[in-house]
Amino acid sequence: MIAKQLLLPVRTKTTFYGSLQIQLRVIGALFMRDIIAKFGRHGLGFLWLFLEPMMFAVGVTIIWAYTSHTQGNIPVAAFILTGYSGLVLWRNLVNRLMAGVASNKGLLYHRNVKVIDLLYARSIMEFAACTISFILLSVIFSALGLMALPDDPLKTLVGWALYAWFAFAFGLVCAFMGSSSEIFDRVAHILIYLSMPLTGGFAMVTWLSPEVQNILLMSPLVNAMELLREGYFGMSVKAAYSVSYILEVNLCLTLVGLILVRSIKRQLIDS
Amino acid sequence: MIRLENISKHYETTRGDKTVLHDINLQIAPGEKVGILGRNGAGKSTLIRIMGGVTLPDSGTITQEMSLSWPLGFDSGVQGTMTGLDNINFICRIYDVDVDEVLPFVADFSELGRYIREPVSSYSSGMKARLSFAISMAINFDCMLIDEVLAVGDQRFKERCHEELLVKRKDRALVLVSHEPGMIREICDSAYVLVEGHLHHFNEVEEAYLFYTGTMQ
Repeated sequence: MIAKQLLLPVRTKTTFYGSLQIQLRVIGALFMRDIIAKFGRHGLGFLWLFLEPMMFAVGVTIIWAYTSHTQGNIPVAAFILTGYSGLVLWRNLVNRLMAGVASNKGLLYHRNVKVIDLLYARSIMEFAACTISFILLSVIFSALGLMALPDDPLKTLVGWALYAWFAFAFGLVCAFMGSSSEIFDRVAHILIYLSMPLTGGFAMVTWLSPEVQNILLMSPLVNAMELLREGYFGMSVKAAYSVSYILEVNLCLTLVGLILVRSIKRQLIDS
Repeated sequence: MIRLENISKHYETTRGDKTVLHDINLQIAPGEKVGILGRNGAGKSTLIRIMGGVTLPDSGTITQEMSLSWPLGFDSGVQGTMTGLDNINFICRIYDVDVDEVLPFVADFSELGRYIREPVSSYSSGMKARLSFAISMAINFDCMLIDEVLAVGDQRFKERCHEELLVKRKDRALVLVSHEPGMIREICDSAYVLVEGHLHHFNEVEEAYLFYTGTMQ
């Protein structure tokens, strides 16, 4: 006796919609798994997701608030919070994507799980953690009277999203490099550290000399941070950025990243 | 139907490329029990991993018209860092199966008791095999891919597998890969023998067995 389902016309190909459903399901499962793996079920549990970046940002804000100064009438706390939140997002996202493939190799044992799904799940988690931390700290700092809430929240969010998008696209390329070269794995942390000035967190571009400005504005992160800060501080800062430049770089880099990620599985298994 | 056509696979080693599968052709009809015999290193595991979508072939095509399990074997598809229960949850989510519905069966078949809440890395290989087997049976694939796994279990596990696979799911296909002909002779409808990356097909399992013992001389 043959089961009914075997007698039905068999599907040789899944539709786009069918595949999308599978992919969303898999990303959801990976996301839940990552949360449990990272935070366990005990104590503060998943609160650590954003407590960790928050504590980091608070510590750094306190230190920097005493050691640095800003130009014009920008509150120091807000300036540091925006810059540092961006830096944490950049560093965490890239590091997590780079390490993401090798440490989850075993999950690829299930045919529905693709390398890109591992990377999506991690990116969503890291982005969510940093965003919640950023928003909560903005609310807390403003409640304490250290700063005002963003002047233009939408513009702030667009800047934040473009910033995260670049970090994600760059992370895709790093995920590929990390899984194909051991040397890259070792030097990447140094590169991320040295990239700090290019995140735009330390100063507004217009505060600097024209030569330095030209160099910094080649970094999409700097452009996105300028946009974010214009949204945050309104017209009290003079921001320099080009949204179309960020979009161009992000799109190209995402395309390259996706192509590279496709080839990771073959390398991983055969090595 | 599952059809493998002209599948080839090589690995790079420090002493040059080694081809592990040469131009493999194989098919599995719904409900068919297929055995693949081969000595250690003949390429059996690579072949079953290609069927399971874990490893990608260099060339050739695979037509898949039935759902296939992941390769059930020593490398069992469950994650050591997660508990048994988390693994069940995770795998059910991936394959879109309702956990609450299958959990009683999985808990009963895997016989893990309270260990189901412990990390899989603390399990014995038998426990891991039971868990992985239980989950895959709960998902109800059209075709199960089994890589020597029955060798891991004790007598009771083998009997229960027999009951689940060959009695309750006798309409389902299965591929059994082994270096040991006993089980294949017992349950398979047809058999292949893999010798140094070349696959030989036999309609009668006994012919395959005779050929296989011939290659051992």
